[in-house]
Amino acid sequence: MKRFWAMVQNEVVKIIKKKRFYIVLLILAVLVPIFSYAQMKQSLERRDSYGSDWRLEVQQAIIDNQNSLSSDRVPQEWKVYRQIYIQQMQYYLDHDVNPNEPGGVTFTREFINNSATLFIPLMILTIASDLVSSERTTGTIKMLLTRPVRRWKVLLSKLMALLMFVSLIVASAYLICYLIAGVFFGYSGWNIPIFTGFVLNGSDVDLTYVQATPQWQYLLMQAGLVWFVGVVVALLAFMVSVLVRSTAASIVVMMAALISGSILTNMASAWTSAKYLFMVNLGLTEYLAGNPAPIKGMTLGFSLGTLAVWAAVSVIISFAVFTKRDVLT
Amino acid sequence: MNSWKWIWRLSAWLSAAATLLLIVGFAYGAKQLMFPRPNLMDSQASAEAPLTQRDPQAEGDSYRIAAIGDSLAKGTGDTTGQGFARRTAALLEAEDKQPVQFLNNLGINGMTTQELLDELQEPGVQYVLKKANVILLSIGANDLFQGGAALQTGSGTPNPAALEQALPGAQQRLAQALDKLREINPNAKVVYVGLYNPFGDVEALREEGNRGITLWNAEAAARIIERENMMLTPTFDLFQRDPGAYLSFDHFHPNSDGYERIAQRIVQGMK
Repeated sequence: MKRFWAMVQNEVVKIIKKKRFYIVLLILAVLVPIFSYAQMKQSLERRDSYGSDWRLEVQQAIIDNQNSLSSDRVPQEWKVYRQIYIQQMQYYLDHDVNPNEPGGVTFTREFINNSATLFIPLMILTIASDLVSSERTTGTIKMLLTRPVRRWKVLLSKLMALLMFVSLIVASAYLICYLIAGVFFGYSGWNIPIFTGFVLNGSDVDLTYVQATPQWQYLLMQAGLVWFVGVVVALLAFMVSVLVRSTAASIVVMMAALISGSILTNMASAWTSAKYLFMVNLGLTEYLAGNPAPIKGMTLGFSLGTLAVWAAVSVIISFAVFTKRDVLT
Repeated sequence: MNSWKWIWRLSAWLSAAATLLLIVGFAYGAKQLMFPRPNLMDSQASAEAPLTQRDPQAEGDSYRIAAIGDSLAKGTGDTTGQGFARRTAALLEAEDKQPVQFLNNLGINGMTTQELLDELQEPGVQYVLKKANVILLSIGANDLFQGGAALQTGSGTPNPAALEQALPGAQQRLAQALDKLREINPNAKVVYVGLYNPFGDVEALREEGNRGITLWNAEAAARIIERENMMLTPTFDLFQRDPGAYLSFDHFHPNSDGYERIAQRIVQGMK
């Protein structure tokens, strides 16, 4: 056991030495101020048209969406989405709670919501995609396998290191986001109530399960869901990295999958069996926010199950291939 | 070499802590979402919503304008999207006597008197109306004409029997809406925008339209003048001589010029 942890340590040090993790942190540190600044500009502009009164703004948003419901040019799926939005906003108004209370915590929540399916998985890919394939391109894999250690242990130590970095990436995304956004919007907002539990019946929202969740709890749940998505993406990328020899190819394969997922979810999916694809199920945080699922019949349980199956299969394939394959070059 | 040991220890502890926290968050979130507990809150709590309990804003030295009602209030047909509501605010602003704040345009396409009564129950709507001291109201046309559908489909012209049947009920609901507005905000000036006949240049419909609308306007005027601080701004004559010039392409709503003329009327009436 002790020797196994030494191997994990070795892998972690290798990842850190490759400086990929620093790049991830650097990207976050550059992007978050840009988005914060854009957001600040936007809220300043809003203040110009509505004064400082958020209630007027929310009420106008409700009316505008109601008006778009009567237009024949708006597709049916959007109408369902807007109906749900109207009812949620109405609920916030009924309880006199500002859904967009500006603050570092709210910004973090919004930012992670928007980056859960593409941006954070991308950060994870930077580390996961070359974990095995780089050993093959540089030829160091032979050194690794000539040691008196079983192959599956070698792979497991790599997997372990990867999972550690998934947690680190998710956690540091939150941390960097909060620290930088706080400069722009202040560091408060942990206890603002966020309403969760909007159950959807077609275009109607069932309010019997709605709970007022303090924002810190919301962030915790959101982070957990993002982490789960991150782990699944990491395991898939890990498999691709075992299967594909070149690091570039392995990154492109995973990126293509992720991007196709975000395109598929945006298309009004009449193709219902697409819900079994892993990339359509990555938007777990949408369930938390009470947004309708991209394809009918998807629930959080369904998405978790689908992702878990994909993850399990990719782990099995990774190990089966890695332990059996001849290493020639 | 020693420093790597420390880096390893640090990252191991940090990631262990982060993983633990994230797993807790995940388990909690999954549990909350998959097995939600019904809340014990009364779902019909909107009657006691905090927003409806507020007092109307005190009379200040500024115009605070809100518009409510049907597509005319919203400004449908105005290519600039302003409608008479924002145009009224702009004209008042140009006078430069008092500061003007345009609060909200609550107009919804196709709104009928019944829908207006429902809308007035909404806490958010009440909040806006309490904050306003000038409320521009446009309602009734959809009760009488079903949003101009009669003209576009050509099926049911506004036939006299149906019109006369719709009138008393709609008038009664208008009165209820006016009372409700007063109840929500006892001080605000309420400006009701009278109806015009959009069918003025359609030979077959002109007569019936004229009759129905003058009837409506007369009854509405009677209800409005018996209430304090309310007035009716007539628009019938604005669209009488040359409807084509002031109506938009749908031949039902005013165009930008039409809205501008209505706004001028409203401002004149408020002086």
